[in-house]
Amino acid sequence: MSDTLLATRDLRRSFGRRVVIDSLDLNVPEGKVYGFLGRNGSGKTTTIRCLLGILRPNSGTIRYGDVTVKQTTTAMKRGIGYVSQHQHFYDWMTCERIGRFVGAFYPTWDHKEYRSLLERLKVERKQRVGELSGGTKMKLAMALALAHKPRLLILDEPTAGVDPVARAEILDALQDEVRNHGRTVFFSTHHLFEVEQIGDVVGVLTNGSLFYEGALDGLASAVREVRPELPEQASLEAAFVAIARDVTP
Amino acid sequence: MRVLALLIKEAVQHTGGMLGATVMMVGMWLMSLSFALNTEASTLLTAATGLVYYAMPLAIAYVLRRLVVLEYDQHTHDFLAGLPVSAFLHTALKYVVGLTLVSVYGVVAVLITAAISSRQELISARFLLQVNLQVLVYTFAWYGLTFAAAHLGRYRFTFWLLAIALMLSLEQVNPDIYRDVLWHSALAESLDVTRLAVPWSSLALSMTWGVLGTAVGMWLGSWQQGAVCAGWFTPMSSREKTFLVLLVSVSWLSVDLIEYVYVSGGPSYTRMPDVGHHSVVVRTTANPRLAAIGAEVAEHLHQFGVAVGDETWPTIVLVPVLQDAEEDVHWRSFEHDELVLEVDLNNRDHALVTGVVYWTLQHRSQSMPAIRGDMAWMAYGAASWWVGPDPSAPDLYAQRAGFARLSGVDERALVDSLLLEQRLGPEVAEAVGWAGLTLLEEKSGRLSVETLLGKVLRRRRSARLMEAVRTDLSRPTAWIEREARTDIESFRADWAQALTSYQHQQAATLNKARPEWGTLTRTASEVADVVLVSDWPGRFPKNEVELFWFEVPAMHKRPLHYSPGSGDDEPMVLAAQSTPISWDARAPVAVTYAVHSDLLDCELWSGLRVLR
Repeated sequence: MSDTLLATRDLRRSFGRRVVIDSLDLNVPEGKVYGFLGRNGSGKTTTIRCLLGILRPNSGTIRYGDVTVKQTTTAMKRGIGYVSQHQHFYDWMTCERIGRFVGAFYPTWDHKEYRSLLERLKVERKQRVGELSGGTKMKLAMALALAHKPRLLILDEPTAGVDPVARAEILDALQDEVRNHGRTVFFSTHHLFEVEQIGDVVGVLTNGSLFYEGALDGLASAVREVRPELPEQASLEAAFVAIARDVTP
Repeated sequence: MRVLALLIKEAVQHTGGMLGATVMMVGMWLMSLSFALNTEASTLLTAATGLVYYAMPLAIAYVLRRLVVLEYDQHTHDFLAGLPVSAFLHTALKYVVGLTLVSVYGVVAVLITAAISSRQELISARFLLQVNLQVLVYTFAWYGLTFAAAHLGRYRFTFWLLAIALMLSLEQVNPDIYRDVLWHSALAESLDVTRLAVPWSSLALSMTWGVLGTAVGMWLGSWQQGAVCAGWFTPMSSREKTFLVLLVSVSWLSVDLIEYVYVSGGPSYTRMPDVGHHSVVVRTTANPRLAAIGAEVAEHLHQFGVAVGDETWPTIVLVPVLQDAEEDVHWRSFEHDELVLEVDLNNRDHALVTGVVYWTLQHRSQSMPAIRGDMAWMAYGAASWWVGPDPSAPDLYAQRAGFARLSGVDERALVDSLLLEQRLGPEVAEAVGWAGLTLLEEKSGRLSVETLLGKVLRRRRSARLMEAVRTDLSRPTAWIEREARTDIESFRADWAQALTSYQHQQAATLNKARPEWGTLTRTASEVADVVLVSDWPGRFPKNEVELFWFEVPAMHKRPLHYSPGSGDDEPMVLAAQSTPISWDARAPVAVTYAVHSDLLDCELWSGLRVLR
C-alpha cells in the first residue's frame, strides 16, 4: 500500500516459551489515527516496543516509509514521536531542561514549538518534573513527542490513569496534530470511546494476533462472523467484548 | 550533540553523589596514610596502593550504583530507550564517565602520596609510572567486572556473594589465587616485590579480567536496547528469593567444607624419609642422628599409644636447627596433619627425644588452651615420665622439681603448670608434672597413670555427645582421686612432700623466683634500661644473666603467658641490658631474665616486669 506509513509482516516476539505477539501484520495508513485495541496483557505494549526498536522481534519485518528492517533503527526513531504508558522522566529536571535534553537527540527539534505546546497543554516549564502530577507528566510527554514534528506519533495508552480534563486535552491535541499537520497517529488503548472519538482505523489484538484491522464500522460485522449471536445493532463496545471475552490476557 | 547532552545529564545528575564518593576516598586515603606511617612500610606509596586495593572496589561499586543501577531502579532507562539513541552509546558513556572518575581517584592518590613520600625517600619517575600503571590496571579490572555485575539487577548481590564464596574456596586450593588467577593480580604483590621489576604478567591478567568484564557489561547494557537488563531489576519473587538464599548459604557453607577436606598442596615434607614405624609416622632430614631420634620417638609414642589405648598420632616432622636455639625442641607449625618441630642438635639425644614426645603429647591434648587448669600438669609431665630419666643424669627431674618447692611454690600451685613455667621456666614446670605422675605410679601402679593419661588424651574427642558430656562433668580431679584412691587434698600434700624430699642441698643456693629482681627504668624517650639489684643474683656475673625483652601487643592490655620466641611476644633483644622501645607508646614493653643453672641443666627464669 503506497499510503501506508508503518507496516509489519509476520512479526513475532516471545519471552521464553510465552509467545506474546505472533504473525502480526499491521498496516498504519499515513495521515490517519490508528486505534490499537486489546485487553490488558494482550501484547499492545510489546508490539509498540518492537515498533520503536526497544525490543527486537524474534522474526518478521517492520516497514517505515520505504525502509524495511528487522529492527527499528535509531535513524528511523528520529521520525517517530513516542509517548510511553508510564512516564519515567528524570525527576530532578525542570520541564524546560528536559526539553533541551530531549531536543539534543532530534535534528528537527523546535524549542519554540515545545514551549508553545507546554503552554497549550498548561504545563509550567520551570517546574521540576518530580513535582508534576501523573496527568501533567503525560501532557509533558505529549509535548516532548510532538516538538520535533514527527511524521508518526506512537502512543501507548496515553490516557490511562489521567483525569477526564487532561484526557480531553490530550485527545484534542492529537486531533489537532492530525488535522493541522497531517501526522499519523498510532495509539493503543482499551477505551473504545477514545477510538470512536478520534480513530479512523482500528486494529484489534487478540492472543498476540490481529483479529481485525480496518474501518471502525466494519468491526461489528467481523465479530459477527465468529460470534453469530452478536445482535445486528450491537455497539462497538459490545462487539469488542464479544471477541475479547474468551481471550486469555 | 547527543553525546554532550548525555554527558551533561550524567554530570548534573551525579555531582552530589560523586562529591560524596570523593570525600569517602579522601577519608580512606588519610586512614591508609596513617596506617602506612605507623607500620613503617618500605615505601609510603603503599598508602596509595593500599587505598586502591581495599577502598577502590567500594568506590567503584558506589559510582556504578549511581550511574547504572539507579537508572534501571528508577526506570529512567525506559525514558532513554524511547529516545533515538542506541543503548550501546549511553551504556558506553556511563562506562567512560565512571571509569574516568575512579581512575582519577587512583592516580591523584598516587601522585599526592608520592609528593609527601618524596620528602623521605627517593621515588624515581619509572617507579611512579609503574605504580600508576598498576593502579590503573587494577582499577580497570575491578571496574569492568563491577560494571558487568551492575547490569545483573536483582541478581548482582547473589553474584558477588557467590563470587566471594568461590574465591574463598579457591584460596584453599591455591593461596596465591589473587596473584595468579584473579583480577587483583596487578596489585596483589607488595611494592617491595614489584618495584624490582614491572609485573607485566600480573598486569596482563588483570587487564584480561577488565576486558572480559567490560565486554560482558557492554553486551548486557545494550542487549535488546537494555530491555533484558531492565527485566532483571524487577523485585524477586518469594520462590526466587528462597532459591537464592539457599544457593548462597550452601556455597558459603561449602567454603568451610572445602577448607576442612582439602589438603592444599599436600603435606610439605612428604619427600623426607619416614623413620617411624608401627602407628607413628616420623619424617626427618637425612641426618643419621636425627633419624635415630625420630625412630626412638616413634617407638616411644607407639608404646605410649598402646598403653593408654589411643594410637592416633599426627605425622611428626623433625627439622634440625643448626644454630643454638632457645629451646631444645621448638614447635614450628602444624599444617596438613603434620606437626613440624625444630630440633636443636646441640642438646643431648635424651632431652631431644623427651622434647619431641612432649610436644606431640601437648598437641594431642588439644594444644595449650584445652589443657589449662587442673589437667595441664599431666600433659607437661607425661613425656618425661614416659621416656624416663636421662641415664647420664638420673636425678635431674627430681632436682628440678625440688627446686620448685624451694622457690616457694605451694600445694595449690603445683597443678598450675602455666604459672610455674612463667615463674620458673618450662623445664621446672615439666619436672613438677613428672613428680606428680611418678608419685601416682608409686601409690597406685603404672596402670593407673596410663589410665589417667588416656583420659587426658581422649578428652574432647568423644564422638558421642553424652559421652562427651559425661567425661566433661567428670573432672580430672575425680579421675585423679579415683586412680590415687585418695582425696585430692591428700594427693597434693603427698606431692608437695615428695618435692621437698627431692630438694638437692646445693639447690638452696640457686636464685629464687621473686618479684624484686631488679628495676626497669625508661632512660630516654626511646630506650629502656634494666638495672639488676646489686646483691642478686649475686652468685652469677651479670654477663651470665640473659635478658628477654618483649613487646606486648597493645590489644593484650597486660603481658600474657609466653614462651621465648613464640607467638606474638617475640623477644626484641636477647641478653641486652638496654633496648630501644617501641614507637607505639601504647604497647607495653616487658622484660624477664633467665640464669643458666649447671646443677639443674636448665635456665631458671625470673618473673615478668612490665614497662609502661
